[in-house]
Amino acid sequence: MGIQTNALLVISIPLLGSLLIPLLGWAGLKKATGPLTVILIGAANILTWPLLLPVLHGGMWHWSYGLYRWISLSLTVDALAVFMAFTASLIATLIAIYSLGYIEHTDDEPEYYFIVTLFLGAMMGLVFSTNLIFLYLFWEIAALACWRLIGYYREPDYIWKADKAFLVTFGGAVLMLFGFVLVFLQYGTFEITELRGHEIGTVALVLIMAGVFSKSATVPLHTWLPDAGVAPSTITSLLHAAILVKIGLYGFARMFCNGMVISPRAQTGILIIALASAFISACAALKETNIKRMLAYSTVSQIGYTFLGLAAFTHNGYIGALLYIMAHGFAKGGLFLCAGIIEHGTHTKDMTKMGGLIKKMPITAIAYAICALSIAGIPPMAGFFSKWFVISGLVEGGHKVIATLAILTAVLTLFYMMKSFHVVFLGESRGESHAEGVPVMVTVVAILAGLTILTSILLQLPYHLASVADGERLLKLATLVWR
Amino acid sequence: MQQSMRLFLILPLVAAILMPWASKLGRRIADVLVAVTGLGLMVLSLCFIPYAGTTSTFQLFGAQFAVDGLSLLFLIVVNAVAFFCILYSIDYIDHYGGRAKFYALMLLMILGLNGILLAQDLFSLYVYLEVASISSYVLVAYNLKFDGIESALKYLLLSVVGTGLTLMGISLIYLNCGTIGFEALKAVLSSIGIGAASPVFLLAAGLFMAGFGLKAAIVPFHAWLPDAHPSAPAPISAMLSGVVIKVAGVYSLIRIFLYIYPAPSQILKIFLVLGIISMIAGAIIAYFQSDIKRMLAYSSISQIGYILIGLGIGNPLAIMGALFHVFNHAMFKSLLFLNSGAIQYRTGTRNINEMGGLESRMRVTGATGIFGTLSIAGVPPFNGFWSKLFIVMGAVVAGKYVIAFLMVFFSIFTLGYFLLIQRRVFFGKLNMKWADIKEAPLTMSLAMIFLAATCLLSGIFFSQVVQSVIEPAANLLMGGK
Repeated sequence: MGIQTNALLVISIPLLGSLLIPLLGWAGLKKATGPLTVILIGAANILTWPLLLPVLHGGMWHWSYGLYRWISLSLTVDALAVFMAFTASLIATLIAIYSLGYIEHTDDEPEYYFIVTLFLGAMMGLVFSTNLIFLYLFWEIAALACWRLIGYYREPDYIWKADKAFLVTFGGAVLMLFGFVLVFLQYGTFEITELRGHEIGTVALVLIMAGVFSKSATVPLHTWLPDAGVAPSTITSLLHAAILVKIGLYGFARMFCNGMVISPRAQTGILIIALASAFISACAALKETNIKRMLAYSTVSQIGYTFLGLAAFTHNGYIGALLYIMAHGFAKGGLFLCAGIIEHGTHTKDMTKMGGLIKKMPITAIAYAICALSIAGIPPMAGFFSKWFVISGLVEGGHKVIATLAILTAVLTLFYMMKSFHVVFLGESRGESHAEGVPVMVTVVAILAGLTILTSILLQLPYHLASVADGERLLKLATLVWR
Repeated sequence: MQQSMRLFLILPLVAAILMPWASKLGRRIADVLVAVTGLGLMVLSLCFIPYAGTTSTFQLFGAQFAVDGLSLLFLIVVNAVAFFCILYSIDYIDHYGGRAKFYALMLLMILGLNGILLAQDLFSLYVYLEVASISSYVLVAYNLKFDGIESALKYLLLSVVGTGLTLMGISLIYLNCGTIGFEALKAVLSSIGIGAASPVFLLAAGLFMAGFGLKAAIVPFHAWLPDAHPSAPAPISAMLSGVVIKVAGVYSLIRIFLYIYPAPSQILKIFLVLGIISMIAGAIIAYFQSDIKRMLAYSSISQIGYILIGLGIGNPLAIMGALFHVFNHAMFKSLLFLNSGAIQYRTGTRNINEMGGLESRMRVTGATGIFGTLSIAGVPPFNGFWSKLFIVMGAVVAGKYVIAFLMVFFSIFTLGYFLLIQRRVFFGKLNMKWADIKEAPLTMSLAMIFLAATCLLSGIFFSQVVQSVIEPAANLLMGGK
């Protein structure tokens, strides 16, 4: 199988396969929709595996289908794309498996599974597209899927939050599209590969960053994420924290680390916003007592961290950011799923009403601890290395003050993560007695914790991939200089 | 091929005349007759797509008619939407009765609209405009209740003023040019090189602007629309909002100002200003409505604003966007009106505050409603996205950044108030009053599904749609430029 076919299959299996799910639902085979989703998403993940090796050897493939004048579906297979596709689809597979145990009590299973699969399809399309119009198109399909996922349970409150999330991200994305059009006006193309090395105007940059920041829930456009994290099911919050918000990060990496150039002043601006976002939301997480809101604020904070790494535009910063996208995906995924199990068992999200759960839910507690340690950046966890790379990348880029403040934020993160573990799992039990979660849910949590450890032990592999991606980044820029 | 073009006029006329006899034979016969006519017209219009780049003329009733790229685009829009509305009416009209009359009037309306599109001189255009208008006055009043009759009367009175102004404009033109045929007029106007200079032509232009602007419901000529569209039966609202305002209003404006007149810059500026006002005013007023159909009616004004802005910018991209938006708006706005009709059919109310949770009872209506909402807001991959993108790109290329930004902003606003409808009507807790309502009957559901599919597919395959019908139409308008 050629690389092209392979990549096309990765995109089209979930995207087109999702259409089968409502059909199954109408045909009365509701029970089959869940397993089908696992198969579709799992297939997408397995199909990214054969891509890993070629890109590790530094291969890069680019081809495009012209649709209409300057609008063409351009696909690029490179280390960055494969890295994101692999991470996202792996987490999504686990989410789909976890859903089998979680979602079966509701009537609209086909709808739920349809949207999850569609979402992953959009994500895969986004990751491989290098035409700005298609980047935007898949970006919005993902937003659309989110809108329906947050509003999945039809409580008026949830629906309002779903609408809010949709409006904020749609608004940001439309501004971003406007920015794309301004870029088009300047350079006459929507192809990222052709825009490489061109500096874009400030207005266009601000507009594009509005889209990136709104999608990646960066302060001040972050408010939808804590709401979306609390309102609906655990799976939705997980999908948001582990995959959706990474879209903005990926977009930034694709557009600015591998393509268009921004001025040093704009770079400083982005670094400051990212730092402020990381710091402010860490403070918010510290104060929060609702476990899911706390985790959502922590996501905002970690996203800020990742932005710091990307916007440093240095070797270590870029590697750190990519590693952190993966490490955070696994660890935050694990944390949200633990929160889901706890909520199922205790029927509350309020951490102050929990306590002593380690005796009742030992596996969940251990998984929570592992994931929390990784997020907090304790060596030898993957989170530590990522943060270390980010900070050294910042220093490398000469942003010493920002690096110092970033370390301070990391300390805060450690503090609230440990505090939450202490309140929830240790001490006296403050509620009724609870049992461990359903086996399938606990298994998935254990897998995610295992993946967190695994990425820490086998850090060379993602590191290698990330440095290939960085090498490509440098190579792309170098060829430009030569030209 | 040229022979079969006559069918656009003959088919609806014959079917309308046969309707009383057909209904005597049985109501199913009438249903079949009207459905077959509608389907035939739609297929016929689609058959002309390969000839989009050419102009072909024919004679009928002693007058000259022609189909070119621009009229073909509108013919497809009219006949496709008309077919879906007819399909929808078959079950819907049960609750009004008098189906033969209804079908006959609807066919006459289609005849009038097709006539406007095929006409090759201003006077025929006027005559067919009246045919379409008169049948629509009656159809608006079809429920024979106070609000229907009142708004039909309002529509009638305002329209008569509009068409009167148009007729005056036509006489002025005839007086000064000695001809009213499109091609002849075009030649005369470009030979004397007017456009801007001569006050008589500008006066005529003003009269046309007011007359056809009223038909297109451009602010400030819009007062009739928010009354007429809601009180009409749903398929008629869909026809009025989706097609009639575009053919009677927008098409005539395009034909006169971008085709016959050499697109004088004053006129384009007026398009632009009125377009912006319509877009903003329509959207803001729509937000405050609690009657679902009124909301949709105001949103039509807002969307017509987008089309006018595209025309006013006047570069190829924007014009293509505007024409594509004509097509798209016809599809999603008819869809949304049919949705609201299905809701009213089952619940008997149009007040969105009394609804809620209907999605769990009316699956098809709910799902297609989401399609309509996303299309109108311009969310990809639905069709509304591409047309808005083209218009915005046109504005940016023309250096009109503020206008582009306004359009972007109001598409967010549009999404906002359509999400409001979704939230109040379809999602949320089910109002117990509606605990045992059912999905709309078969043909109504089918019509909605077809329209929703059109919205999605013409978005996904936008390049095919643009290349086959939109570009020829835009080329015709941009001819030589």
